[in-house]
Amino acid sequence: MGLELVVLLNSVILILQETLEAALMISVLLAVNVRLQIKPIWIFCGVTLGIMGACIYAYHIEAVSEWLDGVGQEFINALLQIAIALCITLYIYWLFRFKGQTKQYDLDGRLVYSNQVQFVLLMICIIALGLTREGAEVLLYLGGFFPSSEQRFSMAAGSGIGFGIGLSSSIILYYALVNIPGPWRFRSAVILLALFAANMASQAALQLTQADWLPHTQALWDSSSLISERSVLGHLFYAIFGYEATPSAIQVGSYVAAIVLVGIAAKIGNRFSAGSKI
Amino acid sequence: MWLFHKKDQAFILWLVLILSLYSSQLLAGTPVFEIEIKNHLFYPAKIEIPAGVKIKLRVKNLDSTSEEFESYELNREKVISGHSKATIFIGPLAPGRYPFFGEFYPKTAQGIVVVRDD
Repeated sequence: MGLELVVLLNSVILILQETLEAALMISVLLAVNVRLQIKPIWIFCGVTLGIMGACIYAYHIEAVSEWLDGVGQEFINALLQIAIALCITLYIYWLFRFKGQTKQYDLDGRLVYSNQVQFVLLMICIIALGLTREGAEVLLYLGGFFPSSEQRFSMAAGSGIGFGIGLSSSIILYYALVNIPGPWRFRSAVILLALFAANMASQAALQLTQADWLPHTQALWDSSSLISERSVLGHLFYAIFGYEATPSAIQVGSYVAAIVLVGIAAKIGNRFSAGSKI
Repeated sequence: MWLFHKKDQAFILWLVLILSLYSSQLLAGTPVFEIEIKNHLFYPAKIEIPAGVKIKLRVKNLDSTSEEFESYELNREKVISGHSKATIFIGPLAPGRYPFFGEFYPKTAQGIVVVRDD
């Protein structure tokens, strides 16, 4: 009984952690979609591609880990994370470029122009890339239980509970975002997107430091006494904006650089939006 | 030595002294520590390393199931499939205790890196 409970609790925590990151991202994108008038059907495409990617990555993890003198895993993870950060940057650029409008109607009310496709493609990329990495971790964890049947039920139950909590949290976030009044609705979604991109950038920096491709730098601060990374709040903050109790200088630098990059993208997008078609 | 001024001689002497202090590190390469995962446990569960030195951890997973080596204090996270090994760089670290665990089986797979003040 004891071991089953342990496996169940482990599964809850692990699946919850991985689900939370992806689910929160989907919520924010969905909230922005309301403004962009895009139907959320693209989620299925993104999630399917993400699961496929996760299967491929998990299947080949052993071979990938051997690449580049044993640091292939860090390299691929960093690549995925940087790709997500760049996708989000481009997305924010387009958001400002097209002033959050994706359709243009003529005087008779007929649809003249729609650039929804580019937004949808980008969102599919973001979700698929994110799910590839996190999904692979989940699959590798779950795969460890298939030879042994005893704890399989506990693992499945725990995973279901963890997934459910993650899903609920993202639904709450979605409704919270969509119900914010006035200009802050758009702003808060953009801020969350920017924080997510920064999170990806700093995680990528961490992976490369682990691979010894980037130099080790001292931790800039230690806030583990305030909010421990082990605590519930710590995990939540990690999922939302990449909270780290002891971030290295390179991590903080990457984080700030990503925020600056997103800010520049937004500014340039704004400047070009004056004479745009939409 | 008669080629150089007195100031240059002193500088060269200091350079040679400083280089000799670090030469052992430069020539020796990164120290390697091995950890094994067996039955969801780390062997050894405690490793001691000197402060201020970059260390290469070689983690060998002898189990058939994957494990994820993770540490909040060390800021390291890596999945190691069954019957394979992984390389993880840590440090240079300040003296202290840095726990690590296996994220897939955290109740049993626990270890600690103790950084000694040398």
